[in-house]
Amino acid sequence: MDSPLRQFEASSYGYQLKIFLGGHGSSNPDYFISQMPDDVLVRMLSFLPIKDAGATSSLSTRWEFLWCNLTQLNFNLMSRCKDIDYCLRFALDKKVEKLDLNLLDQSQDAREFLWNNFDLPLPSLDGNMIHLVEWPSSSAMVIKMPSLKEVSLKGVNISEPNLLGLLKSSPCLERLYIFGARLFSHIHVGGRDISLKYFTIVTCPEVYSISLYDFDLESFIYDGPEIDIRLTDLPMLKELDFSEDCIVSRNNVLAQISSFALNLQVLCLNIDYPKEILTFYIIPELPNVKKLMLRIAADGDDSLLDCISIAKACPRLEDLAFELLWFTPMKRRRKVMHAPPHAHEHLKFFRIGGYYGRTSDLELVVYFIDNAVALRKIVIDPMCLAYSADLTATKLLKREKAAQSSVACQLRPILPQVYLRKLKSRSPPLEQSSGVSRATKVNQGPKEMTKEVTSPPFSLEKHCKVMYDKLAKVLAPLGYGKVFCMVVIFFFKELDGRLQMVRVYLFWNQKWVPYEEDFYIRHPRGPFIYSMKVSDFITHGQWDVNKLQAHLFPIEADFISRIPISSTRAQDKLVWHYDSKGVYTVRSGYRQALIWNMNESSYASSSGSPTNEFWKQIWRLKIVPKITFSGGLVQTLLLHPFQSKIASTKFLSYFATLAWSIWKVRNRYIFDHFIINPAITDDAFQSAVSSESISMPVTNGISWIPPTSNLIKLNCDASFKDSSAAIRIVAREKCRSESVLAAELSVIRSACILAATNGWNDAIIESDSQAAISLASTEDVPPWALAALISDIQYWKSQMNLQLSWTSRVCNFAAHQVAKVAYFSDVNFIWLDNFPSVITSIARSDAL
Amino acid sequence: MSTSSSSSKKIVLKSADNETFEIDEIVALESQAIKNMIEDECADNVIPLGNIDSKTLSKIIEYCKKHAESPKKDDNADIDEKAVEDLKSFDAEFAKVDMPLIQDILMAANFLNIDNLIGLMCRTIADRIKGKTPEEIRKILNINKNDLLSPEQEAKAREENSWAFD
Repeated sequence: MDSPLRQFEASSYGYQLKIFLGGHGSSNPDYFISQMPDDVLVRMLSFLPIKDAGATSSLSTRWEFLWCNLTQLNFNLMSRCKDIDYCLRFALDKKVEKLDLNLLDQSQDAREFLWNNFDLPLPSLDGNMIHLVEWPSSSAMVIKMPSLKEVSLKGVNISEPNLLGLLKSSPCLERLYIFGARLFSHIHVGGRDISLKYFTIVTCPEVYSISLYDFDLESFIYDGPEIDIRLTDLPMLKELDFSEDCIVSRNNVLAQISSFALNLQVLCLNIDYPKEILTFYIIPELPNVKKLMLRIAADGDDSLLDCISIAKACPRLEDLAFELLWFTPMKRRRKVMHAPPHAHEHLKFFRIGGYYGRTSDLELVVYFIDNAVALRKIVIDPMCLAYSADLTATKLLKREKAAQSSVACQLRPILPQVYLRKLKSRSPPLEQSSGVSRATKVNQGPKEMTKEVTSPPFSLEKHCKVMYDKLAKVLAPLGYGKVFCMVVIFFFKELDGRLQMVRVYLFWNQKWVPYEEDFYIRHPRGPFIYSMKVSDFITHGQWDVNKLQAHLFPIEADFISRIPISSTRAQDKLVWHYDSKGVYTVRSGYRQALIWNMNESSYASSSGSPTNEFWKQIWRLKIVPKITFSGGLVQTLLLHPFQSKIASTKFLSYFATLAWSIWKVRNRYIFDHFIINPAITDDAFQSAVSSESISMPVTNGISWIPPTSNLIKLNCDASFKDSSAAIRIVAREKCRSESVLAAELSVIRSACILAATNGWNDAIIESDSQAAISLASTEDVPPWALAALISDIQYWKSQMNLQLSWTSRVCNFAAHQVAKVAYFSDVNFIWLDNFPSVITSIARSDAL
Repeated sequence: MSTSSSSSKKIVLKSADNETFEIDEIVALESQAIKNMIEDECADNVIPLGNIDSKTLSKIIEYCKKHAESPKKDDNADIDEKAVEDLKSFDAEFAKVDMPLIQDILMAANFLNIDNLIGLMCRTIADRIKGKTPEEIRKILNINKNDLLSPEQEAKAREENSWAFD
């Protein structure tokens, strides 16, 4: 035994000699096959025939149950019938719930070698598996299989008694899937003792008829040759799929459907002669069908508008797909017909496959675009799935390209949003190309379809960046980054329409922060590309101004720091910011939609009424005369942002000058083929700005311009009563706020906090702003912009037993005077003990 | 990592016995583990592989090189049959090594997460134990005698899976 020859192994690749010197047996410390993780070992087992894999259970403790983890059993072809019987019995004894038996011979076509298939046996009482050819007189031989819930059989034949036995003795069996099996010719299944709910039969060529009756089947899918199908008393049927073959006409499926039309939710049909079927047969009302798929033979260019009648019969239809099948598409020149309008109110998703661009195809699309009011998505797929298998790759590609170009030119004008499959540059796989993986590309802009630009054209991006950096320096201190970007974008759009690319590179990630009208921060640096949250800018219930200024344009930081935030951690909530209360109502939504609509149309015509005021401002600008000529450009570019309150005359002047500079460069590029140099544009703009011809307006320009300082100084007065003596405290504060109301409220809040920190319970807070007081004590939903403040005040109020009351300005004279004093000083102060003489005298007079 | 990583970028691996291997990034990408490291930008310096010796590592690199060079199946449909055959014969040749090395490679491949190589090694082992008696398999896999089932346990296992033992 001490021979050095310890191991002599034979491999399939020849013999190898392995010699261990000395030692005893398996003492090689480097051996760790058994230490490999389970998944590796199981993978190794999966390469073994099932017998060998099972035999490993006796190897060692490590291996005892490993083979049980196998997900695929690899049967040896030679002795398989007995082995499978064993395994099945084993599985059934172990109470298997999901049985997936795939015995397809991968090397052969499943349809041709059905007689070689394994026959599904059933377990009998004596512990064997039985293959029944004829149904025995007593069914007692087959034991119950209560554990089985799903059975999927591929390449497994079932005799009639065995199928019935399986169904009747498996009380929990809900799903049965049969593929490529040799079944008996007339399947007649039914009865209340069957609990099957999902039944699928695919490619079983020897079946001549299927009749299902009287049980709670929910879904039936048949894919195979044309056969007789009879469905009776299936009240729960929700899904019916006959999409593969033309059995509708033969069986009058439409009439059969009417018996269970109430519950049907998904319906897939294949219609070979749409005209005949749909005119001869009555289409039953299908009140609950949500998903409808129609495969339609469309070799000729006959109108397919008749098919719409099925869609019309489904009032709750949400998802509609047409699959047009053709081999040699014929195009006929005729006029596009329009079906009578019918509102498909719930239709959200519409897909049309095999679109070739024939009149009949176009008619369908046009109809649904016109009539599906709630449509969200249209997918137009020029690929005809039906016959693609028979074509060569190059032919396929050619055909697809042709279809695609016709899609593009026909639908461009009518589609709001087009999903087009993008052609890959390489040829598709030679075998049946499913086309599933093909990318879709969307573009949102109305009336335009842009192709995806895969590689950025040289230097355009660079130009953008240079342009951006230069001009940002000029504009940033003024806070006009946002407008600036738009200008750049439109500028380059003018150039060659490669807007998409520019947008990708220039626009930064958008996350929430309140900004002017659309609530987004425009600063290119961030903060949000570094995934900062709004809460990162708040410390101790206050905006971290330094941080804001470090990350944002000054005007943005300023704007944000003026947003009142709650100091008592009021709950966050969703706000519809077009409504003052922040609550969405249909009414406000409608109103907003109208406004948008109006704005959109005014892009095209200069006579939009809401913008008249704006145009007056533009023409009133005192700038270089020639700039006014660029009004046309300004109009197309930037109506919307200018309606915001931020627009001041100064701003307009800057903008108009900039727009003109860019317009000029653009013209030189288009007409004189001048290379664009952003630096020159920049210089031109700067010199125009610095030239004296732009007269900077004074602060008292137009009424709604905020004062230059952006500081509103307000006063409030908190009167405080102790039990015995009345001491009047004047709390005053300088605050920066957008609106008077917000300022009043924030002062009231300060007063609350003051009272809280000094422990003055039972205080009365008086303010001379009636509106603020009523808001602060209101129970209604407050305006969303003030909600934070108000919730704070109400919090303190409930904590401290404070009272809020209104007092006239005369009574509030002290506060008024203080405010006057404060207006000229910059110090933020609170007097508690030593009042200035002015105040004390007023206080005294008040006391009288 | 710069976005325009060209094919010329090199990755340096260091084996347990301190030998360094410089390989193209594209070769290293065969390993899912290294790929993740590159994506996480942790692969700028030498990647130490403390549990793989240089013999095994050079073998693995040989495999990765071959597979990185040959066209991918899902990438291009019409790759010629020859390339497939070529790769197959390479794999067969590659697997002609002794069991300890197979196990080393399997271990390393598992660590580096090279799916194809794990599969190849598993298949090789399976081929070698196919049709063998448990006794032979124990020898091939060199299963520790301490781990053996007790006679009763073994009898039970044989009985439960009797279909596999006749």
